[in-house]
Amino acid sequence: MFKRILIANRGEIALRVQRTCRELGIETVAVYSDPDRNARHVREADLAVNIGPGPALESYLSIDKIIDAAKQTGAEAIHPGYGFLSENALFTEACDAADIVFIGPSGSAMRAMGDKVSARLLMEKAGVPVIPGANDIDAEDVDTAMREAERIGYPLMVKAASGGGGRGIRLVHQAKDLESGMRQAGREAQASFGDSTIFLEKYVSPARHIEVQVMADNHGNVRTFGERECSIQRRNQKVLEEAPSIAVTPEIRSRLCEAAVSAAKSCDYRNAGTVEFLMDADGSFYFLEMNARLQVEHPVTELVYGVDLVALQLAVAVGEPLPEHSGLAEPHGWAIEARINGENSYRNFMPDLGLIEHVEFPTGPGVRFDTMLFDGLELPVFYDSLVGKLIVWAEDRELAVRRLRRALHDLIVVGIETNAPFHLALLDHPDFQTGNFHTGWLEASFEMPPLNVTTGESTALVAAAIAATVIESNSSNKSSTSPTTKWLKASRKKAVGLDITSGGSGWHSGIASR
Amino acid sequence: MAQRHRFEVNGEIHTVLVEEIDGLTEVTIDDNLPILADITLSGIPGTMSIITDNKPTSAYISRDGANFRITTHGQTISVDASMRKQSRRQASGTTDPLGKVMAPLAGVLIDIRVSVGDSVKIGQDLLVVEAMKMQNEIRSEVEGVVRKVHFEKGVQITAGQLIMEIEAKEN
Repeated sequence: MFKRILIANRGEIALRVQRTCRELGIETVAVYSDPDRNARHVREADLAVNIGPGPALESYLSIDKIIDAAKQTGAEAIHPGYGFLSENALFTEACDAADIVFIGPSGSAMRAMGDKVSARLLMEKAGVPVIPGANDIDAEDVDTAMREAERIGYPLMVKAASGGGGRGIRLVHQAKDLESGMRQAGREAQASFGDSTIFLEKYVSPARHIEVQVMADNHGNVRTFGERECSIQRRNQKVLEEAPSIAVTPEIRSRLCEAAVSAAKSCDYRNAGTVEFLMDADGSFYFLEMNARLQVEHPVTELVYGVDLVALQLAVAVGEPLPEHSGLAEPHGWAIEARINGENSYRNFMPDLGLIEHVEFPTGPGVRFDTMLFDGLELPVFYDSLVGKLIVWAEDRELAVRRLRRALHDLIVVGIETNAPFHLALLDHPDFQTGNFHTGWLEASFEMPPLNVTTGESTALVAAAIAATVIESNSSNKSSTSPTTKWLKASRKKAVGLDITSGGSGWHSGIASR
Repeated sequence: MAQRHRFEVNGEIHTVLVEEIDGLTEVTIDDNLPILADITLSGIPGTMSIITDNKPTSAYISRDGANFRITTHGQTISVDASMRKQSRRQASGTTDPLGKVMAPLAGVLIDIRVSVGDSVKIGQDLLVVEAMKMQNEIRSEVEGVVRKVHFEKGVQITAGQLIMEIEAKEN
């Protein structure tokens, strides 16, 4: 096994990979941008290397800086996590050239799958059904797009050829919106992936987003770990995922897994990957794309198959054959993941970031919370809004829904708004409970119930009155210096009131924990 | 020895009276009946536990200048303790005064689509703010002429900052 690996990522996924490494006795090297200096993945790593300023293009997307960091620290392999360089063939090739193992597929498999257009062609050849569409269009070439769009018919999806993770995608309903859709998709693709080539795809709707987890070794073995249900999406971003899917029967599952194995074999795929399908109401499905990385939502698969996918990734990367009995053959129980984003559920899910003043993590039976949050963390503006993943497991779907609701109530984040109120409202929706949804359901049929502002008002007034009383009685021995740096401010915030004396009154001070 | 506090929550003024009685705290909100509560507090900011009628409630208190932010029952409530009776401040981004374009969110100003002197229409793209990899286009809510642009492309902005001023056209 490796002795030391570099994790070319940040946030919860960097921590996720670190945890398995620590269990296996592998040392980890963290990389971090300037605004991430205070991040948890930095302090929990064995070694940490600064790779530059906040914008991802100058840090987490800089191949040279990351390869240098690996060389400098003697890392034998690089785990890319998801996003950033995880599906960049140039990066895998740079690893090869530097004699560093890339924990993921080969550059050629990545190119074949990363270019959504060539992936479509490969699938057709391998006998996997694909969605009708038009390939390889420059984001500026509106005339060609218009012509092709007429042939395919509206509504259609404009997608970045090099896209992934729901970025660089626009749904276009009519010809007059095509140009702006192309412009937006192209611009996002250029910013995120450095390539503005797009393609068009017929919009199959209503459909479910069902994806299959694959794992392939260097010895020709390809294993699948069933499906994940990812139809709950907003702006093409998954917000909640489940395993298994309520719509997938054992018969459909075996056909899905068979197609996923064909897809993986068609490009000589290695390591962890995900084959995404759109599935009709009648259970027929079409290849959407193959994601050549560990997915955000991989934990739901881990929980129902009883497997550590990162451990398998490491084993396969070092050249071991896939263990014959890793995990279960069939899904056991039910797992649901709620993506906890820093965004305001009551203001059109606008991103919300800032200083995390206080967090309380849900825990207890069947609850897993993968997060980078801690008291005093200042969330940088440069990266995505995912601040944690709340994952639950229970014996069946109904119990899993109840457990997730309980865990969401137990999650307290002070300082930023999160989408926890949205998840709670979603879990209460009858369509969600009966499994009657598709990829367009959330945006078309779900409405966020209004915030009941009076619920907590009297508690808030009591709390404020007590706080004001404490402050008044305590104002005589106030510190006069005003802190200037952020960390000092944050720590001062926590420490204020430490010397509050109860004086025999009905409330008293405790000890601040940090 | 009772203490009287005046707070503003959601635009309404409330009076809260706090009094110690035999190690418990009696709290009276406005003209309501007094509540006898057992309260512990772990500092400010900090967690408060309140038990009334054998029912425990938790709240997290943080300070925002002279004001408090109380997180309880899954929501954060702003309690204005400044006592000022002047009109409430504008919430950032939602109800901007006519022609003033405020940043609706923190992020990087990646594009400014208009210049000083340009005429703009309602709904016209003014600027693009990128936050957490999503690009948010900010559109004009008024018709008029751009008079001032306070920032340059590429700078980082915080929510509520005044970015652009438009002189609204008279109807």
